[in-house]
This record gives sequence, structure tokens and C-alpha cells, in this order.
Amino acid sequence: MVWAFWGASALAVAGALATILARGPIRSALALLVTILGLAALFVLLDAHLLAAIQVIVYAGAVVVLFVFVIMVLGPAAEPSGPGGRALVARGLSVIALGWIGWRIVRALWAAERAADVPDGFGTTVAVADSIFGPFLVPFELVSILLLVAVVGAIALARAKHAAGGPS
Amino acid sequence: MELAFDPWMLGLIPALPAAGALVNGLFGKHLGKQAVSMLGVGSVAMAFLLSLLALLGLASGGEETTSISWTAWEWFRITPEAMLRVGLLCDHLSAVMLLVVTGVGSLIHLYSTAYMHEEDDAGYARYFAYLNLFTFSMLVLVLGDSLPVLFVGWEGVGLCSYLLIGFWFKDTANASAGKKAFIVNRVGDFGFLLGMLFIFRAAGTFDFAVLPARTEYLTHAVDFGFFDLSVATLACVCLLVGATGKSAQIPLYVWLPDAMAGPTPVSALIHAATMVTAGVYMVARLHFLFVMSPAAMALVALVGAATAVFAATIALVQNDIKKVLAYSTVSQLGYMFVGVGVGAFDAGVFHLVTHAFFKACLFLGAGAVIHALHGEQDIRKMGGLAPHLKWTRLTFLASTAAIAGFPGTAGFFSKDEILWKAYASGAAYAWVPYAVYILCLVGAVLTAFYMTRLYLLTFEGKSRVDPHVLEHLHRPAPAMEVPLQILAALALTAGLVGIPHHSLFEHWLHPVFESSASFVGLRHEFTIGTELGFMVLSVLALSIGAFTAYTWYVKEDGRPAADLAARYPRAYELLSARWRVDELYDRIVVRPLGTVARVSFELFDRIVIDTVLVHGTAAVVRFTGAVVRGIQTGAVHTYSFFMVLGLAWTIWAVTTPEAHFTAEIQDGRVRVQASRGPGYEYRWDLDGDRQTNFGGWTPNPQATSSTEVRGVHRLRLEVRSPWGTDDTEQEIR
Amino acid sequence: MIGLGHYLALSGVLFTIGAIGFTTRRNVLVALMSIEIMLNAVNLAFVAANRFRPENHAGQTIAFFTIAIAAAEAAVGLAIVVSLFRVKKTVRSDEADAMRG
Repeated sequence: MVWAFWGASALAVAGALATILARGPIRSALALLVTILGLAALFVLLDAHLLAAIQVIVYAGAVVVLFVFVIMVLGPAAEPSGPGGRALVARGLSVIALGWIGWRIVRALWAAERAADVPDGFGTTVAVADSIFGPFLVPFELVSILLLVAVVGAIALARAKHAAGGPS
Repeated sequence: MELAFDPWMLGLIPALPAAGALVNGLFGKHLGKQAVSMLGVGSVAMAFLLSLLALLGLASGGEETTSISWTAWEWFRITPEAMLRVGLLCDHLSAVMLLVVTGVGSLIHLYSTAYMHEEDDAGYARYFAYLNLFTFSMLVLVLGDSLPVLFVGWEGVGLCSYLLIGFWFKDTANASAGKKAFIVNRVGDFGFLLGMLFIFRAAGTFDFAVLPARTEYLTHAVDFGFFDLSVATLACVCLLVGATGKSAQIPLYVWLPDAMAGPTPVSALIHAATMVTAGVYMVARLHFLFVMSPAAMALVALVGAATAVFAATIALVQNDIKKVLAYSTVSQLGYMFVGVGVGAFDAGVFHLVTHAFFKACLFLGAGAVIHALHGEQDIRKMGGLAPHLKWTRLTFLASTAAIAGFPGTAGFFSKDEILWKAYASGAAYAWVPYAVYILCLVGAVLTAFYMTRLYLLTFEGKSRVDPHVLEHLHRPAPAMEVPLQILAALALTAGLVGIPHHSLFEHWLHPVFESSASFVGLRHEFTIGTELGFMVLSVLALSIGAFTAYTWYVKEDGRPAADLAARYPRAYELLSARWRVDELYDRIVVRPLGTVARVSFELFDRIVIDTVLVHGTAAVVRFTGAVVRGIQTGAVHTYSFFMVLGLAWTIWAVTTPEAHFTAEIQDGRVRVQASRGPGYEYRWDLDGDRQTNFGGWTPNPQATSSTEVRGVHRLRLEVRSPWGTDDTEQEIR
Repeated sequence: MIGLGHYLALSGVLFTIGAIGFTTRRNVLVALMSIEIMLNAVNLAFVAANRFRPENHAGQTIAFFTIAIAAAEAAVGLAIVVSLFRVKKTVRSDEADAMRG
């Protein structure tokens, strides 16, 4: 299974790099899709089957689709020209700082421990559902409210503003 | 008959005028002139009655009762040993001063009700409030039982003088005169304060009751380099400076002639009878101090004598009736200083009392004339007023005789006594008595001359009054004439208590000054013949002066004076311009100060404060703000950039290892506890020997040594984490 | 063997890439996508940690919630982008500086 890990990792990293380096937003969106699928594969490797399915359904199937829809709505304006010169220094510094942070994190985590055995039924829908509707019931309910709020908010924000007296 | 005068009643004496001042000041303009007058005059009159009671209380008290004292409250503690109290002391000297202040004060308050009648209600009330306040301050000055209390009164009268001189402040000239009085006084006050502090430093107390006993400290010498002075001399000279300010002597007399800008009753009360005598009173009160310094006494006498002559020369050529009287006051104050300066304290005080009578009478009389002539003050426009202002003229004549020293009047006895003692007393240097006497005698001649001149030009001879004014001559009200009469009567008869060798006055004041009697005294035994001879000399001086004035101004209608003035124009002009002293002061003091003020304003205030500090600060803030504002670009990516930087720093701070530990020895073994951190591993080392007392690398922050440890050792901790290492060392015992 | 460290290192790398993308790209859409990358990286860390500590399913549950919240956030964020576009006719983040100063 080792090659599965490296393959999925390569896919995820390549996708991420492509996302941030791509020329236009639609290419970025598709690269994001690749990353997500790579991550889904990794979840399967980690015995998180339900989560892998949710990853594909929600992330790939909804979030990325939403991105693509917005790009479609915005049209050609979604592809702006290159960056300003003044920002180059800041961006360079950001890259360096973030790279350093990343290196710091990775260097430590690299030494973490080896694999352990998993009990049966680990990562199955039943098991995860037991966890969600058990100890994490309250956060679950709160998240559903959050989703409602997000829906309302998104509609309120994205609704076109009409002139006074016009039909809403 | 024992008269019960409780000590607390002493407190009433100043309290009554104070209450009057308060009520009149706050509510006077609503109360109407009648109520204000009753309150104003009444409070001082009551104070007079109480003073009388106090005097009688002292008189009937017998040999032991030489004073009444009362402590009002404790003020504050200066040093652990010295507590400053606010207290009043009434000894024989204070009793005399009390009667003068309240008695003459009441008469002048009464006079003012008529003189100030034309003021509006608010102004009238303000006047009486100030006048009462002045009386209060003067009483505090006279009754104070220690130097600070006296000083409170001293300052208070200075303040009231300013307020009253500038009473009609809408005219800036009057306001300036008030300011001048206050400022010149202030210069003197500085000297007074210095003297006070020298005394305290040497003697440790301010109390009049205690100071005479502490005099040995005052003989200590103060080294000034190539000469040294005793503390007594130093203090006395400083106090003298204060006295010259308050009592208008050389060099600080310049405010008094200008003070004539105030209402005439004010001039009578403050600048003739009471405030200006404060300096003389102060010297008399501190007689035990002054007698310790013959040099200071000589200085007092010389200053007084010089002033007496100097002011008299100026009075010769003045044409404003009040100005003549003002310079006359300066001159007569000089005589009082001569009196106390040669050690004849009772003579000086006696002249103070008689001068209060006749000078107040003269000023009030002048006020009556001015009032009658609707404001005319120039004597060249007066004359021939005798038939119109009968009582004014008679009282003025009586007082003129008194001041000139006409035999039998009060002024004769008091001035003559001073002149005699000036010649006869011992002094620091042999020439002092002669110099002082000569000056005083010359002064007497001049005094007789200019006062006679004043009287003659005002009341006698042809009338030079503007006919229009003469038609509307305003006769003085009874409230004005009665005080004149009383004062004139006193001016004529008060001398009876001061007849030399049988002086009731001297006898009364004996308990006060007896402690100094051994220091002062006659130079040697003079015969009674000598004394009488000098008296004759005084009368001669008076005669020369008066007769010359009579001849010049009545017989020859002023022509000899005009001729003299024409023959020596420069001298005349110098005298007219008052020896140009004011101009001198202006040049050496006022203008430099003005320059300093202007430079301070232009340079320091405008540039340093306004520009650099105020605008500069604003500019710095503005500039800094503009720079710092640059961070707020409004764009999200900028903010996220800064967040990233912050995050990087935070991560560095959290992950970089730091080694800290605490160690203690328990039961012979070392127990250590290190601080935790992400991914830390610990290794301990005792004394650098690399022996595993504690084992090797371990993730456990706690450890105990495996061997026994005693005494002093060095313990080292090494910390290792994925992001670095750190170590630290400690000594444990 | 592939151990926890590998997964966590991968998570770190992905997170760093996402962070760089967010702070560097001017296009707000790409910035939002970078945020999604970061969230995914975090999810990976949680799930991996859970796999190596299988006593409970806390890690997976948290990842579950994270996905939900990320979806909500993406929706709202895109709504904001659409509003911004309506006003400013641009998706460049450095032109959205109305709060300057």
C-alpha cells in the first residue's frame, strides 16, 4: 500500500500547487478538484471510509461545483491581469515566512510514531454515526444551525439590489 | 475696680470689622446705603469700645497684668519643637495702637458716609467692605502674638491698600497707582520675610512672648567673606527693608504720593494714621531685637532722618493739596523712625499717635475742601475759603499748628521729644546723633514752611477760585465736620499725656520697653537747661518756617517764591519733579523687567512653547499618524500578510526550546522539576561528570538522582526538541 | 511503513501551499480555493491522528464537521465575491480597499 500513499500524496500536492499557480480561476477550480480526490484516496487508506465518501460528495460535488458556477456567472471578468509590482516584495516575504513555518511543522511531525492496529468496524458509517450522534451531538445540532445561517446569509448577500419600489 | 475682659473678647475686636466686611461685601449692594453705613461704621465703633475695655482691663489689672493673650487655633507645626499658633496679644503697646486704629478708624468711617455719598449702591458697599477689611487686617497686625500673624495683617493691609487706592479703577491711572503701591510693598515684604526667617533660624520661634528670652542666639555671627554681621543685624536690616516699604521711607516711598489717587478718607486712614505706621510699630514691637544691633538702629535713624528732609524738600513745591500732605506724611514717618532708631521707642510711638490725629484731620479737611470745590485739588486755584468753610478752616489751622510744632500742641511735644532724644541718645557711631539732629531740625523748618504755605494758599488771602465753582460751594455735612472737630481737639490736647519727665504715655509704655532700657539711654548726663535750650531751638525752627511762609505768600502775594524759582530754575524743576526718583526707578527696574517680559513672551512663549512644544507636538503626531496609517491599506491580503508574519513569530516563540528547572535536595537526593514544552526531552548532568545520576534523555520533566548528594553542586539541564536545544545550569546546595 | 509522521508532514505541506496561495494570489476566487486547501490539510491531520489513536472516532467526527463548515463558508464567501463584483466590477482583492486609512 505504500505506493498508494505516495501516489495519492503526489496527486494532492500537485493539485494544490496547480491551484495556486494556475493562470485562470477555472483551471484553479479543476486543480482543486484533483486535490480533493487525492485526499479522498488518502482517507480510504486511513480506514475513514465514510469520510472519504463525504469528501467526494460534499467537497467535490458541491463546493467545487459552486466555485465553477460563480466563475461562470462572473464571466470573463473572473480572469484578472497580473499582480502589481509593489506587492511583489510582500508576496515574496509571505512565501518565505510561510515556507519557514511549514518547514518547522514538517520537521517535527516527521518523527511521529508508526502505525497501530485498528479495531473492527473502525471508520465505518455506523461507528462514525455513533460518534456524531453520541458525544458530539450538540456540535452537530449547532453545525446544522450554522448551515442554515450560511444559507440565509448567502442569499441575502448575493441577491441583486433592486431600485426602491421595484419588484423584489 | 476690676473690669472683666475675657481673653476671647480680644478675638472679637478684629472679628467685628471682618464680619462687617463680609456682609457688606457679599450683600451690601442689596442692603442700601443706610444699612451699609450702620454696619460699616458700627462694627469699627464697637471694636473701639472693646478696645477701650481692653485698655481699662489692663489698667486696672495691677502690676502683674501687663498683657492679655488669647490663642485662636493651632495653625501648623513647623519643626518638632515649634508649633505655629494663631493668637492675639494685647499688651500696653497694642492697647495704644488698638485705640488709634479703631478710634481714628471709626471717625474716618463716619466721615466716609458723607464723602462717598454720591457713589452708587454697589460702589458704596464695596468701599465700606474694603475699609472694614482693612481695619480687620490692621487689627490683626497690631494684635498678632507672633511674626507670622503680624505678617498676615501686614499683607492684608497691603492688599486693602491696593483695593482702595484703585477704588475708581475704571480710570487706569488709579488702577496703576494701586498696582504700584502693591508691587513696591511686595518688594519690602520680601525683606520682611527674610528677616523673619533669619530670626526663626537663629531663635527657633516666632512668638513675641518667647523671643526676648532667646536673644543669645541672635548674637551669633554670620560670615559674609570679608566682613561678618550678627544675625540680629542681618535680621534687623531685612526687617527695615520691609518697614521702608510699608512705611514709605527711602527707598520704597514712591508709592505713597501716587496713592493719593484713592478717595481722600482712604488717604487719611491708610496713608496717614494706620497702615504706614505698621513699620514703626514693628520696630517698636521688636525693640529687644533692634537694641542688639546698634548698627541697625543707626541705620533706622539715618534712613528716617534722611527721608524726613528729602520728602520735606519735595513738599515745598507741590501744588496739589493731597500731594503736599502725602509728602508730609513720608516726612513725618521719618521722624517716627528716628524716634525708634535712637532707642526712644515711646517717643516714636507717641509721635505715631499724635501724627494720626493731626494728619487724619488734615487729610479729612483737605477732603472737605475738595468736596466743597467739586473736585478741585490745585491750591493755586484756591484761597480765601476761610469765610465759607469755617470749621474746616479752624480744624485745618489747628492741625497745621500741631504738625509744625507750635508750643502746647500734641505735635510740639511729640516732635520735640524725638528731636531731643535724637541728639541726646547714644548711638553706634559718634557722629550719628549730630547728623540725625541736624537733619531733623532742617526738616522741622521746612515742615513749618510748607504746611503754613499750604494753609495760607488754601484758606487765606485773595480767592483764586473759579467763580462758577465758588457759586456752587458744597458745604460739608455734619458727618464730615464732627470727625474734624474731634481730631483737631485731640491734636491740640493730646500732648498733655506726653509732657517730658512727667509723661503718662511713657509710664504706660514702660512695661513694654523696660527690657531694652539698659541698652539705650542718654549719651551722658545732660542738664535740664540743655534740654530746654533744644526746645527753644525747635520753636525757633517753627517760627522761621512759619514766618517766612507768611511773609512770602500773604504779605508779598507769592512773589518771593516765584522769584526764587526763577533764579534757580533747575533746582526748582528738580524739586517739582520729585528729584526724578520715579524716573530713576523706571529706568533701572521697570524698563529692564519690561524687556525681560517682552523677551520672554516673544522668544520663550512664542517660539519655544507655542511653536516647538504645541505645534511641534501636533506636527509629530500628525506625521506619525500619516506614516502608521500606511498599514491600513484596506486590502485583505495586506492584513493576511501581517497575520502571517505574526504567526511565524508566534510559532518560533512556542517551538524554540527553553530550559528552566527547579531543584531541591530531599533526604540526601536531588529532586528536579523542569518546565514543559512541545517535544521536549530532558537530560540532567551533575557536576559535568557525565555520569548518569539521572539517566539519559527522557521525556519526563521530573527526576530524582540515583545517588546521594550532599553539599554544593552544579546541576545542568539539557533540553532537546525537534526544533533545537537549550541548556541551563544552576547551583544547588 | 507509512507512519503518522508521513501523513502529518503531508498535511503540513498542503497547509503551507494553501497559506501561500491565500496570501499571494490577488484573485479572490483563487484565495477562497486556497482556504479550502488549508481546511483539507487540517482534515487530513485529524483523520490521520485518529487512525493512529483509534480509541474513539473524535478525529473523523471533527473532520466531518470541518467539511460542513467549510462548505458553508465557501457559500457565504462566494456570495460576498458576487456582491463585490456587482459593485466594483472586479475580483481583484487589492482593488477592494474601501476601508483604506
